[in-house]
Amino acid sequence: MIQVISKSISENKKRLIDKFNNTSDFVTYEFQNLSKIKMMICYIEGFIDRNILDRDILESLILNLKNRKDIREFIMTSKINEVYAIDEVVNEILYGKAVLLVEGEKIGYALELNKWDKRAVEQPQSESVVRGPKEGFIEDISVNKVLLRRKIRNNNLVFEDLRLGKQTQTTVSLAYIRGIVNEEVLKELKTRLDRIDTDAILESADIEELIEENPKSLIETVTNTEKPDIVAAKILEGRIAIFIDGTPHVLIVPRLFIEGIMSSEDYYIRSYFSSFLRILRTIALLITIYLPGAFVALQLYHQEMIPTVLLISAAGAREGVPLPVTVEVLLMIITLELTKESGLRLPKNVGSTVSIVGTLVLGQAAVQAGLVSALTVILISITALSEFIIPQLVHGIVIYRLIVTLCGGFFGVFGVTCAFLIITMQIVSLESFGVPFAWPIAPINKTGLKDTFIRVHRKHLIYRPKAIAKRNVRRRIPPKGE
Amino acid sequence: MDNRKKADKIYYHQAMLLVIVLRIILGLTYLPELNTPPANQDIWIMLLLSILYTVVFSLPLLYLGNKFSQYSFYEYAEMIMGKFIGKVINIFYGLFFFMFLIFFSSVFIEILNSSLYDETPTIINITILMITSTYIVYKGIMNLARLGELVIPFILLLFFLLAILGFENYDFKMLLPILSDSKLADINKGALISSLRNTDSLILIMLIPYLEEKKDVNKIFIKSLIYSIFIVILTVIIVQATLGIEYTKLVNFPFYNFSRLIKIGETQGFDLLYVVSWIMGNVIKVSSYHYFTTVALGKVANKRNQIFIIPAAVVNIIAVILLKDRRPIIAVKDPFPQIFIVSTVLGIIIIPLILFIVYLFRRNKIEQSSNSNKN
Amino acid sequence: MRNKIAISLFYIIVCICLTGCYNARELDQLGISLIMGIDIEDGKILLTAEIVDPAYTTESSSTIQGSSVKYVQGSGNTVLEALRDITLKFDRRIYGAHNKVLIFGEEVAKLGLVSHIDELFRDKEQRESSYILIAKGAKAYEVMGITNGLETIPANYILDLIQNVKYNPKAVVVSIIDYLRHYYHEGHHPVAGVIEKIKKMEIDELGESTGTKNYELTIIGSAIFKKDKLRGYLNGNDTKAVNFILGHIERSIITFPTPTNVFEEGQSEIGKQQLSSVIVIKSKVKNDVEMEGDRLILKTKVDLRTSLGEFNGKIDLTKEENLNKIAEACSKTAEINIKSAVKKVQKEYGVDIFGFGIEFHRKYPKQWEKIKDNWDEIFAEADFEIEVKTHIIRTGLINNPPIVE
Repeated sequence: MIQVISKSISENKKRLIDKFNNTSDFVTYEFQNLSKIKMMICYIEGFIDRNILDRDILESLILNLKNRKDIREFIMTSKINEVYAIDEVVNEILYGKAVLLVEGEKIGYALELNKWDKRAVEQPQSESVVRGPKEGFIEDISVNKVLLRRKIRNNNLVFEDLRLGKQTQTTVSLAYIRGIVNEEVLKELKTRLDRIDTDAILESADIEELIEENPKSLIETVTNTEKPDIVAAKILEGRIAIFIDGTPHVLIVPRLFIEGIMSSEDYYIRSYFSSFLRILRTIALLITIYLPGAFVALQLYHQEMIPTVLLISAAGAREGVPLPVTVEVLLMIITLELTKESGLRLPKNVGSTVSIVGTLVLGQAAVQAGLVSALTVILISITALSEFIIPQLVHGIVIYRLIVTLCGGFFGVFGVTCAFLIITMQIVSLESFGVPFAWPIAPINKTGLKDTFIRVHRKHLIYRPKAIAKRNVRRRIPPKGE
Repeated sequence: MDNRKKADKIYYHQAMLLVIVLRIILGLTYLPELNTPPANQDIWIMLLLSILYTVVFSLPLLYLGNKFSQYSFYEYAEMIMGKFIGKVINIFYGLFFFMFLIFFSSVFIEILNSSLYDETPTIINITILMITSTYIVYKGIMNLARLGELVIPFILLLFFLLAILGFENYDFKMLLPILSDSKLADINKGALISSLRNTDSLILIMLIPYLEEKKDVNKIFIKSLIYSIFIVILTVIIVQATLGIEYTKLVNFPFYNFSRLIKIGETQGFDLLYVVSWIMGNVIKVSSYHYFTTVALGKVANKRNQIFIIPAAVVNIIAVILLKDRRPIIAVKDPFPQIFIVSTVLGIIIIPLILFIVYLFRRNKIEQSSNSNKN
Repeated sequence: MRNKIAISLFYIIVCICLTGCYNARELDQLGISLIMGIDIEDGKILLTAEIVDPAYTTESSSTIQGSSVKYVQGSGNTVLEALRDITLKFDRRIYGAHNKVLIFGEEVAKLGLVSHIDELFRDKEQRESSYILIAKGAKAYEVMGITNGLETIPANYILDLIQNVKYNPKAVVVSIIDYLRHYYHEGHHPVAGVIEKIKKMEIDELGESTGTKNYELTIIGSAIFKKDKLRGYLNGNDTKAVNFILGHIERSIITFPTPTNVFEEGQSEIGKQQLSSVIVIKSKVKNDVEMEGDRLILKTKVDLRTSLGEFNGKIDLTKEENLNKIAEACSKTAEINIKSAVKKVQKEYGVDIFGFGIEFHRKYPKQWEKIKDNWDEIFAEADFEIEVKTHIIRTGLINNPPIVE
């Protein structure tokens, strides 16, 4: 049974306080204007701008209102909804509006006077660039939408809102450009979002885990980013962005594996240099997963494949070290993970001392105490450096690295090669919303290859990625003679 | 979304790369051509001649494959010959692929054990091989082809890199008295035997229903044949120029010996590149034969092929252990070459020829029934 | 149910793995051998290996003398037995993958080289790119252990000596695979390098010479084999001629008497001939055989591009015809030397080490089938013609010699 607003203000007030369970930040203000009309304003403290409320609404109502029915002419604010049921009143108050109830009328007027404290728009810490826009999303979804809209001033940019989460009722908004977007992906995304049936959506990861295709894979198939220019560039390729109220991380589907080695700055610096950086990142990816495993395999099983001089110095470095190579490398990898985790959680003033102590002491002293050999320390530090070049794929890298080291330690080069094939097989067989994950490398596509390990000059990037944007594939039409 | 409900699609490049690597890996492993007549410096001429024989022997298969490009091989075998004989043909090809699976994995394990891991027992090596192969086959042929597209160009690149790096060891005068030591009859016999070793045209025929453009089959066949024979000829020339003609006949694993001789200054580590690419190629080959075994068994029992993956792997493991722990496979040659030649002749030449001839007689009836099937 | 299968499979796999990593060898279990010497002593095969001591390389080792390598010996009836004999005397197993040089004692070479070392081909560790040296007139272990250069490890000393051969081809550089490549062909018999221990004069800081204790190694010369068995040795100059025909001259020098009758008469010093040298930059060698009736003629054409290395004499080098005369003198001297070397090989040893048999096979394949078993006798009776053409294309940093009249 839908409870409607009754004509009596006191009854409404009782019902509302009851609905809000007597919470202390629910404010109700009853007043009477000069013409003896009784009215009540209800809102949640902290959600509205009291100045506007006092100056534009209450002043005008108190001084000027003569007749109950003319309220709309006297409320000097631009966004007013009319509500008729108590549940709707509760909903509007929860979303930050102030509701005006009049004695004798069954209508409630919801006024939008939002003002709450937000973080300033600043450069996100996890994605900092040298050249390029430095704005980042914040936690408020309407500000985020505006940040995106300012990049794409196009009437085809569409936002579709929905509410997810049974208890939290979070606003989630899909953004895409009609005419470029891939309609099948859009339909599939909406189907999956409808299937979400959960309590709370607090962060984008809550949605990400519930809509992805392979929950067991270590590589993520959904991008998340904090920068509006990245979102704008990806929407223009035919993808869909998912904004979530309360978190600055925006999800983008579908995702290709090759985006793990791309960064937005690649498009803002010279094309040859960015090609060099991308090749460097690919080599870093291979190094960070396979170097410890290959090192262990070569040292234990295939000493003939190491050049003689290197072998002699490696053998010399291992004299007196108590642990076998496999255990030593595993130990160093785990120490690396410990260092990374503790570095994240340190308070700032203790931070720099501990990092110096950590690196110097652990590395140098361990070598001199004869616990690990110097060669192992160098290799693990190269591995760690390579890992930080590719921040987006870190989740998969660490676990794969452990598996490959174990395979190398037990089975030699044969084990490392088979592990390589299994890992590559897993990456190649993933699909992100119907788009093959290893496109454009696995199903080879010549135009797509222009933007993968290399980034060719802009005048050759004519097409959007063909697997994602099925229609409207040309970005620009090159003039004749180019 | 269930990936397996969508039809698997293989593109032109993927099929070509897959067939190329299937053919050349045997050459990179133990190079049986070195001991087939005429067995001297004219082997490359014999290989050129074998292209002709291979094309001739595969003609009935290609013709049938082009005609029935919508159906898989077992389906149209059944359509042509009737249900019972069709099933018998099905079982024969299942056993055919299975036998080659056992042979190739045992050759691989034997060479791995003689050159790199001599104390590891066979069961561990074959288990790792089968685990990798099971995982790859489980993901399906489309993903196997994608994996091939990613990995096989590196295998070929490493091969050419090794060929260039070993340049200072070559002595091309070893190949010189061209055609003067061998008789034409010898060369013909050798070309016949060598073309009968190619079981991979059958794999191409099995791949036809998955291809995106069915008309490309002939182009893929000819191009992959020419490229792969070119690479095998290059292998033979390199190995003979480096190690000498008679010595290579004694060597079990010629290209590995060649890669160990490559030096830059005095550093000698380049066989690592070769070993990695060789292992990858062999795993892809074993996985392909595993996949087609399970497909054949699946068609016989009318079930999905995923069910047969693990049983086939387990039987393979047991068979390889039984086979290998008794006798060397490469050094002692009987009776395997005879068995293989007989089965290859049956599988590639005789049965497709029979199918072709029966098809010519029953052409009208088959086309009527296939039309009614479509409607 | 599926979980149970997966878990039991996992346990089985883990148990298989944990029963031991079968082939794993830690680096401190290896005895990395860099040189191996094979001898026959008391009717058994004696194997000497030189093992690197890795701990030596980490500390500052200039004060420690001679402890960078250790020598072990093992004896047995075959090479494999000798290798396994070492394992009970030395605490590490010999790891032969980095063996760079194999030294054979003279007796082993006389009995037959290839037939005794089958183990080295079958073994997965030994590479066929190791160099072969025959210890001339000595046993292999007497030659190992001497170092005279700047290297602390004797193996590196020998290796660098071998690499220096390209500047002075009075020695041959032969690896196992070079030996085996033509081994089966009756028309080309292999050669191998030699290594010898000679006394050297040491110059002390005090100005005295204490020459008795210190030795140095030299690899000048070559050893000739008929198929498998050692036939004899060649000295340095003859080896240089052999290298000419085989085409292995890279930066060698040719010394010849300067033709002094061009500019001034009577300029020669008393009792001394004036000699000049050229340095070879690029060489092209072409071997050929020809049958004229019943006679066999072996032909060699050598085309050299050289630069003038050292010049003694008073000729005006800025004129082209003088330069040509000098080049001709060089060619003539080379021809005389090579002819004498070939004659010596033909008459004294009767073994075709130059590869003319292969040329014959290439040119007359039908006849080769008939005569290939007697090739060595035919070779010994054949005529040899050689033609050397020298072009001097550079003269170094100066053109005319700085002799003042």
